[in-house]
Amino acid sequence: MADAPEAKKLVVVIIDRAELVDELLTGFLDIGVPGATVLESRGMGSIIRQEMPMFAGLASLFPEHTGSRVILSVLPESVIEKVYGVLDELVGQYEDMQSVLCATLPVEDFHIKRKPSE
Amino acid sequence: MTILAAASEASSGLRILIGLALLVTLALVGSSRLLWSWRRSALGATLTTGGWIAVGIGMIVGPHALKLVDAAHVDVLRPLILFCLGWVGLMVGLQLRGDIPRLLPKHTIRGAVIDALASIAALGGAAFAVLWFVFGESSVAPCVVLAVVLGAAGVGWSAETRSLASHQPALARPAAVLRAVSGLASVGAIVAFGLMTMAIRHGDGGALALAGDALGLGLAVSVVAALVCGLLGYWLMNLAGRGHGEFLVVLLGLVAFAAGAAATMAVSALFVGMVVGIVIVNLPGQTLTRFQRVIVDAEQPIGMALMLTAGVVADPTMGWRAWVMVGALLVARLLVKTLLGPKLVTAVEPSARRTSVMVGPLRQAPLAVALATAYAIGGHEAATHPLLPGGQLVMIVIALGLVSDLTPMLSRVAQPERWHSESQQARAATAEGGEA
Repeated sequence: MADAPEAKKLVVVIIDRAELVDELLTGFLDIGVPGATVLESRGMGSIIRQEMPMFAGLASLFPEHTGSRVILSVLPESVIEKVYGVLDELVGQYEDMQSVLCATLPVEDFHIKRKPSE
Repeated sequence: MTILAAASEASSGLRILIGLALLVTLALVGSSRLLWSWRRSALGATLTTGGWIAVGIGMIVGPHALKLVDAAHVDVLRPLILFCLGWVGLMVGLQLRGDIPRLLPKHTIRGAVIDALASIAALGGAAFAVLWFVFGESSVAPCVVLAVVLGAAGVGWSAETRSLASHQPALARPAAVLRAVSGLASVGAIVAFGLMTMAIRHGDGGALALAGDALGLGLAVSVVAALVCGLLGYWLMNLAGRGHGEFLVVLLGLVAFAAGAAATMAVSALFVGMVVGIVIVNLPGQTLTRFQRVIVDAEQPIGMALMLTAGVVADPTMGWRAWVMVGALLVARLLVKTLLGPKLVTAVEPSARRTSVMVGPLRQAPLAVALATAYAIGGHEAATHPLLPGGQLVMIVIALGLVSDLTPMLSRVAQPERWHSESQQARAATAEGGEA
C-alpha cells in the first residue's frame, strides 16, 4: 500500500530588504526547498504616497525605491518549521532587520503539469 | 536682581523648549499615517500634501496669533530648519540619476527645462517690475535678489496628482509626466536660488550688492564641499554596512554636515544638499536603495516641519504693495503654466485635453514655501532688507500658493457636473484603449 502524499502548504514571505533576498533563498536551498517564485512588490504606504509626493516627484516614479519582495513556494508541511528557522536566523543575524512577514496557507491540491515524454 | 534675571532666562529657555517640542510634535502628527485617510478626498489631498494645514497651524501658534512660538524660537531652531532644508535638497538631488535621459521621454526633460527658464523669467520679471514701479525701489541689487527668489519659487508645480487623476487609468500617464516634470524642475529652482545666495555680498555702507566673483567662488566651494560630503557619506554608508544604528548615524551626520557646511559658507543648504544627492545617486552599490528609501520615507515629517516654520515666520501684516505683488505673480504664473502645461499633458494623452490634470501645472510646488523659508531664515542681509523683509516674502509665497492650489478645487466645487463629465470621458478613453 502506497503512502499518502504529504500535505503541502503555500508559504508567503514578504521581505522589505531586496538585498537580503539572495541570502534568504540560499538558506531555503540549504533546507531542501526546491524552488520559489520571487515577485517585486510595493507596500501600501508606498502606493498611496506615490501620487502625493511633496518634493521628490520624480523619485516616486522609480519602483526600486520600495525594495520589497514577495516569495511564494509550495512546500511539504515538514519543511515549514525549517523555513521559520531560516527566517529566525536571518532576523537574528541583521540587527537592522525589523521583521519579515511570513504566512502559510493549506494547499488543497497541487499539480505540476508536464508535457508527456514521447 | 540676579535671581530675577536668572528666572527670566530660565523662563525664556523653557518657552524655547516648549516651542521646539510643539513644532516637532506637530510635524510628526501632521505626517502621521493616522491622518492619511484625509487624503482620500481631493481637498484633503491638496491641503495635506501642499502642507497648508501645517502652514495654518504654524500661523496660529506663531507671533501674530497665539504667540506660542516666535522669532526667538525660530532662531534657536535654525540649525534644525537648515537640517530640514539639507534633507529636502538631498531628496531633490537623489532624483538626478545618470540614466534619466534614457528613462524619461525627451519632451519631459525639455518641458522641465523650459518651465524652469520661463518661470524664472516671467515671475522674476513680474516681481522686479512690481518692486521697481510699485515699491519704488531705485537700487537694482535688492530687486534682483527678490526677483530671483520669487522666480525660483514659481518654478514647477505641485507633484500631488491624487486629487487630479485618482482612479482614472487614462490620466495615469499625464499625471506621471506632471510628477516627473515637477521633480526635474525643482532642480532648476534650487540652482537659481543657490546661485543667488552665493552672489549676495555687502556693498559700500552695508548696502546689499551682487558680486560675480563671489558667485564663482561660492559655486566652486559649494560644489567641492558637496562632493566631499557625498563621497565621504558613500564611504561611511558602505562601512556601516547593514547595521541599522550605524546607518542612521551616518545618514543624519551626512545631512547635518552638508547643512552645517552650507551655513558656514553662507550658501544655500538646499543647493549643497542637492549636489550631495546627485553625487551619491550616481555612485554604484546597493546601499543606495536603502539610503533613498529612508530619505524619501521622511519626506512628510520634514516637509511638515518646514511648512510649520513657514507659518511661524510668515508675516500676514504686509501692506497693499505686497498684495499687488501676489496679483502680478499670479498673472505671470497663469500665463506660463497655461502655455506649457497643456502641451506636456496632451503630448502623452491627447484625450486628457479637457480633464482635471490640465489644472495641475497651475498649482504651486511645496518647494516654493521651502525656498521662501530658506531665504527668510538665511541670516543674510537680504532677508532683513526693508524693501521686502523675509517674513513678508514668505507670506507672499504662501498667499500665491493657496490661491493657485485652491482655485482648481473651488472650480471643482462650483462646477461638479463638468468635472463629472470629464471623469466619464477619461474612463471612456481608458475603455477604448483597453479594447484596442
